[in-house]
Amino acid sequence: MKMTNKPSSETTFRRERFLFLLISVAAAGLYAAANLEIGWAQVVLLLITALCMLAALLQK
Amino acid sequence: MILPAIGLARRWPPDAQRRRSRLRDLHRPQRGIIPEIRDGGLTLVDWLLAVLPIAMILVLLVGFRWGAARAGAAGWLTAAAVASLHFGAGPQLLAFAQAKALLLSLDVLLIVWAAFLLFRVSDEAGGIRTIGALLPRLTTDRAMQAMLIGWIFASFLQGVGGFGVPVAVTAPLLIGAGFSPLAAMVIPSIGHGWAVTFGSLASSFQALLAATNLPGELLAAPAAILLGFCGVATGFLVAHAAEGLPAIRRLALPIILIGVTMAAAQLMLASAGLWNIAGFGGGIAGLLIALPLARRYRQMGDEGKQGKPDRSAIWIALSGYLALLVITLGVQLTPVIRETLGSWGLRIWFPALRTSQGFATAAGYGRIIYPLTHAGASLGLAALIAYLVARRRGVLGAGAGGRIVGSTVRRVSSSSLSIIILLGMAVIMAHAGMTEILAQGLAQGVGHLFPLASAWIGGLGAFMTGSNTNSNVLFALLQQRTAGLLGISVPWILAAQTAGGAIGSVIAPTKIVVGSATAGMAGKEGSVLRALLPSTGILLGLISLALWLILRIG
Repeated sequence: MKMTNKPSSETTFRRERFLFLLISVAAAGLYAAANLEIGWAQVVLLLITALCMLAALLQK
Repeated sequence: MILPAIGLARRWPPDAQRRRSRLRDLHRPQRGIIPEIRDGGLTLVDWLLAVLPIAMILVLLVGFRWGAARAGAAGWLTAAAVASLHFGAGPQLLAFAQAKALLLSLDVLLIVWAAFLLFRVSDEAGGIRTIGALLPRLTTDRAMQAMLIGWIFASFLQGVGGFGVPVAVTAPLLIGAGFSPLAAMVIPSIGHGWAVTFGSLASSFQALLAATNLPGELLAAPAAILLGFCGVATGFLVAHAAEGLPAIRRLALPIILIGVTMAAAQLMLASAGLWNIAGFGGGIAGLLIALPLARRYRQMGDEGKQGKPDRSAIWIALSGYLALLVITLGVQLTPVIRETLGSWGLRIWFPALRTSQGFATAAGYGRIIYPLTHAGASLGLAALIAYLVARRRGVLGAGAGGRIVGSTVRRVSSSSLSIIILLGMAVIMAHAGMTEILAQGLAQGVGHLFPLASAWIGGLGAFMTGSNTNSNVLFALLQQRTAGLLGISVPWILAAQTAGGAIGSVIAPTKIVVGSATAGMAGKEGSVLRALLPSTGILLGLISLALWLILRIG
């Protein structure tokens, strides 16, 4: 069984940290937007979260 | 308009009463619930779509060998798409679910970050290396050496550090003691698994609480009991891995003594509400009883080989953990302190939510975080004390503070991202009714054989995601719902989930890769995995059997 043995590079580390922060901030914003029932803000923040997931998905 | 309800709020007096009543309800059989929850609405398409995010993660992790964060992101996107397009989850439901996941993540990550920070302070002070170098000199019995380093010391390290540290630290020590690289990798891998749930200052256990929203008092004892069985069995497996059956026959008595002592210490601390130091306490108890026992297995004429340990370095290494012990005991055992510090909590209100298909989630507070009594706060304070002690004694080199913080941030970044993504997926699935459908499908499919499968599901989750914590996040809610539907004790099923996750995490590719790198086995991870599979299978089988017997008797 072959497994990858690639230590986390500086770029990967920075990207992971950035994505973590962005997902966290977006989640906090989602709470505010949902509470205030601002539909467009919810959609925009959900899209930002989904883009973060896409970025995490595409990282190697 | 729904008014936001965030703030530092006083703990409500009725909490304790409500909690006691809830504990009684959860232990009570809940037969006949299935028709009340969903009356004949479960279809195969629903179930297949509900399982799709988890199946996708499984395929990407195992088949394509992706990391947990990357595969988790694919799972999140799938869950969000299926929840919106098939199960009728609107933007507001997804928004609140993601916010709830952030709160749950914060609860878990505070511990993960602070636990690793504390470990790094001790490591930087050089004490961990000193203890590790001392142990092989205590006995010349090779199987006893393997037990001391690969079982007891590895369990202690798991209690205080975790995150792959036990294998990474002890594998080189075992090689130095004359074991082959493969044995040096296999022995601590088996040896520390039982300590994973309550190790890393119980971050995996905290994830179990966060995912299920159940009180720790309910889950701690069952989990500690199942893990205790594994702990004793682990001693035998380690002795066997070192020198085969003769070692088991020769060392049966010390294995039982040490194993029962470690398991009992962990159980007592966890049952007393001190689960964040239960793994650490088990490791300390093991070291205290094993050191005098090991001397009995020293061959004649070996006295001269013993060097004097650097007691100062050991005390400095342990100062943070001793401080943690004092802080935790002080807070938990002094009602005035506990009530004063625990009277303020960060609580956030979430309204009732409903999908367009009618699946409802009741209104209520998300995970309430009590900042002053949170395990993360105790850990952070202990880390600060350890740093100040080490600095005062002059054992920290120049720039040590920066190195400690830098390596902590770097080490936890990947797991932090994985946890927030996986929790987001799990909460979306729960709020969209997907977890409910999965649980119903499992309940109808495997029926009352479900207890036999619980530990294996937990183990599979840990193997897939690389950690007991992630496994609990992914599968705890599913196990909880399935147990509820089948009328099986929820605490015992969740105990099997986390115990299985602890054992399964041992064979997670990410852990094997980290350990192999330090043992000089890089590129031979497949051999390590093959060597670990029988022991892992035995321990998972033992958990299933113990759970089955407990449920039959109870």
